[in-house]
Amino acid sequence: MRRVVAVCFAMLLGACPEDQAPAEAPWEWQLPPGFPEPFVPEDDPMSAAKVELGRHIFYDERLSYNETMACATCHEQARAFTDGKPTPIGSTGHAIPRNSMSLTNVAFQSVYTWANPKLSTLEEQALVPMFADFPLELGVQQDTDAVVRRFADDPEYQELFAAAWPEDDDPFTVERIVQALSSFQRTLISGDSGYDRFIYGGDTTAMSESAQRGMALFFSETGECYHCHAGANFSTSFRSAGTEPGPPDFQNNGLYNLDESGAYPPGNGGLYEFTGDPRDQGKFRVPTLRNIAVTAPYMHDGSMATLAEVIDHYAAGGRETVDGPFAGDGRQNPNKSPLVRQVELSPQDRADLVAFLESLTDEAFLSDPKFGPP
Amino acid sequence: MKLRALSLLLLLLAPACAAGDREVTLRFDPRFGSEPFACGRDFAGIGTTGASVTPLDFRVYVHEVALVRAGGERVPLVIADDDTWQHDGLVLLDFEDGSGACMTGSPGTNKEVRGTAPDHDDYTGVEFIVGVPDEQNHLDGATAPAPLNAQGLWWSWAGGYKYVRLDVRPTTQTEFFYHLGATACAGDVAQGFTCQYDNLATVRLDGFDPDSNTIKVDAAAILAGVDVDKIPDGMSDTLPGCMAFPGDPECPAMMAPLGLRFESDEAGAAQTVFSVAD
Repeated sequence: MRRVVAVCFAMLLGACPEDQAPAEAPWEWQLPPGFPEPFVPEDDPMSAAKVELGRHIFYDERLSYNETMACATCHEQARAFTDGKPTPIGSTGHAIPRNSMSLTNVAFQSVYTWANPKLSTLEEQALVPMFADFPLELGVQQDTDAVVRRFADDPEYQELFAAAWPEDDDPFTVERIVQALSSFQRTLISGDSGYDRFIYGGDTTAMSESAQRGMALFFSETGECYHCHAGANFSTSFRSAGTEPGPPDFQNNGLYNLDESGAYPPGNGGLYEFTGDPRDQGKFRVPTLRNIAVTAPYMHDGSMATLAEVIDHYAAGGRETVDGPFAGDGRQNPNKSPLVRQVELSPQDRADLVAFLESLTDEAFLSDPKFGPP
Repeated sequence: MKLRALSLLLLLLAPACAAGDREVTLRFDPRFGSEPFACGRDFAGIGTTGASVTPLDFRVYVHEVALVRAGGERVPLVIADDDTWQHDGLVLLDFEDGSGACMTGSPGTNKEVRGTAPDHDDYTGVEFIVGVPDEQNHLDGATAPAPLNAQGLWWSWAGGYKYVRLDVRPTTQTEFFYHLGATACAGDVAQGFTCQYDNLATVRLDGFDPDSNTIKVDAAAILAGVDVDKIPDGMSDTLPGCMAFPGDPECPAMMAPLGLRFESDEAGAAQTVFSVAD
């Protein structure tokens, strides 16, 4: 607090006497209790100007070649930066095979997207939706120079880019766009849910009785949920400024079982698509559970509509698909995590678990204007 | 930096003093069978069904280019960096000019490899590797130097570059893809990657005189073994063409023309894409 005051004071002092723009104050994280400082790549340091530019670009449909789609099209703030669809459609009509992921606390992930072991920074990840050919999402590659020029020719963006990189003669590059988007996304930190206020804030009214029972079950050896949904962000995918990321973790939770080797539906093989190892069929990254109540539908392919359905799935130790092209008993998938196994849960237990998951919703995060459209 | 520049200079100078160097330009001639490749026109008789296609993109990376002397001695070509197509021994052959349906490309084209080699009079062969060498393949696409700055060749999901991109539009569907690159890679940009399948194709052409011959690059040969009109059923096949990922059914037939075996490190049959032309 003291430091914040000192910085404000310094900014005021700088601004008044010489009447010139002050050098930008060092970036200060506003972190919720229990959260460490996020990892930030050395070559893309945080600054308020970059975050502001990134917010503008994130909401700007001009980032897609045909100007129909922004990052925000699939990542809506009110849905914790998801889109409410099982799977989205790209700007030119390609069907995207996987569910839009929440960007809640995305700064703390060690790897990005559903199953890619190689995307370890937001900067690397951004190139995928921007430049992927199939499925095509934003389609920037259809004329990269023209897309970049849209920003270079816009007076508002000229100011925003200049503020972000005052020393840079020509900041209008893909690299700079990616850096601004990454800086903005690193600010999408959510840690003010009922659960947080209960655990860190000592507010005993912040979680219902049912949610508290659900929390006990969640962290118990009966529920076993917390092994994968671990730590401050309820995911094994975690890194921060002070922690080196462990090896990326991907798990099969028994959704499908198309053949004796545990195959998943084509185009959605998970880690297998990168390693080619059949034992990696159906393995996906563990998503955060923060704001999970507003990010339906669930799973990598959006194949579950409600949290109740998700709880039933885990209680059954997997899902059996009786007929159709994806028929098979996911419970018997050879790649399934041993922690996903049948467990006796009463209707009350299930309702309690849902209540706990609902207590992870951070209403302020979903409506804070600093994460919203400019 | 200075040292490196100096040693490079020495490298360039040393052989020059010894045997005398000459400039060598290898000329590539992109085709669909007997027809010269061009964006904005149709090509018939493609693939197993003799389909008609319009090109969308056609680009190829090559490196480790060498001339071969009559006695079999392999003489590396010293590639001059030109800030556009050639860098550190890597050359981008860019056959599309951004016109017609070639939306993913750009107006610039390059059909040459330019370098220097000792001035021998008995060069009878040429050798090169199709692809990007491992140490350059995983650089950050947003900052890597030309010719690795070609966005259409970024292979972001696979953490590398497309070595060869040949996309066409058949009459039955909007795209049929050929994206060849390294797969089953582990690692990250900072630490480097190791790939189980490098998918690098070594091409050796004999009976080649760098002064009088060109190197024909036949896009139709890459497509010869597949039905480009076939629309994927979404189950046994999820996308039209080959993107080199595990189990992609068109890949065996689309990698064989380059002398590669799909999901294997072993060499395949002789390549059929490159040949010597007058």
